[in-house]
Amino acid sequence: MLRWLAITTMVAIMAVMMLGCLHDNNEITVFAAASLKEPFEKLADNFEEDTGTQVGLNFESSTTLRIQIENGAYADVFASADPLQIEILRNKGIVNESYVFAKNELVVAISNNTNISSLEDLANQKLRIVIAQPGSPIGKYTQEVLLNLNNMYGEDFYDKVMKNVVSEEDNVKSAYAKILLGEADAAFVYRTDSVHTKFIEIPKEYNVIAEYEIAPITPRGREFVRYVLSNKDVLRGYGFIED
Amino acid sequence: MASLRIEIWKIVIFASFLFYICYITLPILSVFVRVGSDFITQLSNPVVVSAIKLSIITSSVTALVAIVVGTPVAYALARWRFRYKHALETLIELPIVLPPAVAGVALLMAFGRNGLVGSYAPMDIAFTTLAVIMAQSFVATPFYVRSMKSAFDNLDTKIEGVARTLGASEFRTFVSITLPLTVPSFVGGLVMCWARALGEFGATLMFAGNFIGRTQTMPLAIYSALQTDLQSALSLSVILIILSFTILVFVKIFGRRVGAFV
Repeated sequence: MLRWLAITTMVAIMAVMMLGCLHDNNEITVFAAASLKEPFEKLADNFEEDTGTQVGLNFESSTTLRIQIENGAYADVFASADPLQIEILRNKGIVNESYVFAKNELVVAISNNTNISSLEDLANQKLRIVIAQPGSPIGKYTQEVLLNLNNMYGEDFYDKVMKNVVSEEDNVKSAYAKILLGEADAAFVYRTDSVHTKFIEIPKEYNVIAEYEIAPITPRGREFVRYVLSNKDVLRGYGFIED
Repeated sequence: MASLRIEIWKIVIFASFLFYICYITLPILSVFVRVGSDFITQLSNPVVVSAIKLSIITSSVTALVAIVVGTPVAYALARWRFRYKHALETLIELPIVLPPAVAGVALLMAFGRNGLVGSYAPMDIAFTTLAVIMAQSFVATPFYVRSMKSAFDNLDTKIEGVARTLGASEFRTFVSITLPLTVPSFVGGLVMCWARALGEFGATLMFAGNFIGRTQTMPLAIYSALQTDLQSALSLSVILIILSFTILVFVKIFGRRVGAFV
């Protein structure tokens, strides 16, 4: 019985390992923050054209991606919307080198048929506000901005806004999708996400600058990291602030 | 030579069996191993508590609605004859096979702010607890309807005929003869419906959003907690595993016992 258990387990493990090796050896796998979707799709296209190497992209909340990598998901490159996720991987010895390659800031995207005209309006009753969950980089930045805004609008501003929050989404793209659908009135997103709807600026002194860091996880990933670092104009084209 | 072939055949079956059992047991066991002693402390975590509460309430309401609405529907499908019955029956069963994400989008398109119905509604439905119940009802009610329909189908109509000839009204016959005889299917269908509602994730996430205490049911809380607090995700998983297991055991035991004397 025990021997059979051992043999079966071995066979199972070997089968799984074989499946694990199924990812295309000619492909570079890039895990990138959801907010990087548009520029990274462009960069990947350009990269494929220039080098002939295929790029596989996986966009999600940087936190989710970091957890996936920690738990053994295969990635050659990780591009995070905050330095913290990279730092966690560095402490675990998964990442050795990393580079800040872009910056972004927050805006409040508003749906087309809402009567919000200023940040102060966000505290008005009966609004439907969507934020990203505090575990994600954008969610963490949102909390920081809201607390900063307390200094401008008074102590209860944060509580009033949070009372209007109807959903905490997994990543910035799903938060913004609720605005596109017209299901929510306002959402805290990156400036680069809010391209299809109106948005309200957050004053510089209360805003947060998001720093994007990119790290190769395998030696093969370095090629793509170098490519991103030397083509920052693509990111600028999508509204990112160049580092 | 022939006996050797049989031996190999047996080994293949045995190996597949063992492999499959390991494949199911290992992940579930891993959750228990990883959660460790933290499970008890997590039970007082407010996020965990509110997710459990919300899940129990919404899935129970869904089950009640299924009884009230689903029973007549199942009865009509089984007993009445009308045009397009098979087409309608297929339509009613569609949510069983429909990907929940599609159900979520569909509910948004119908009952969202700009939805076909939602734009005329006096209040916003999406992002409310009502939306959670609607999402669960959409995907889970068919399990109850299907079970009750087959119960009504398989019931010997002669027994009902006897009650009628003894002077019982059609309604009286239904309540005191037909319904009691469907109890096994009723319990089985209801429990499956409840379990499916309890596990609902995709449609809820899209239509009701994710907010603690209002729309964040246990599966959504697990999803969110993976980003921040693995321990509470594990604890909620343990609770759902235990609940699911209990449901299954209950259905099996109940089904066997009732089956013995019906």
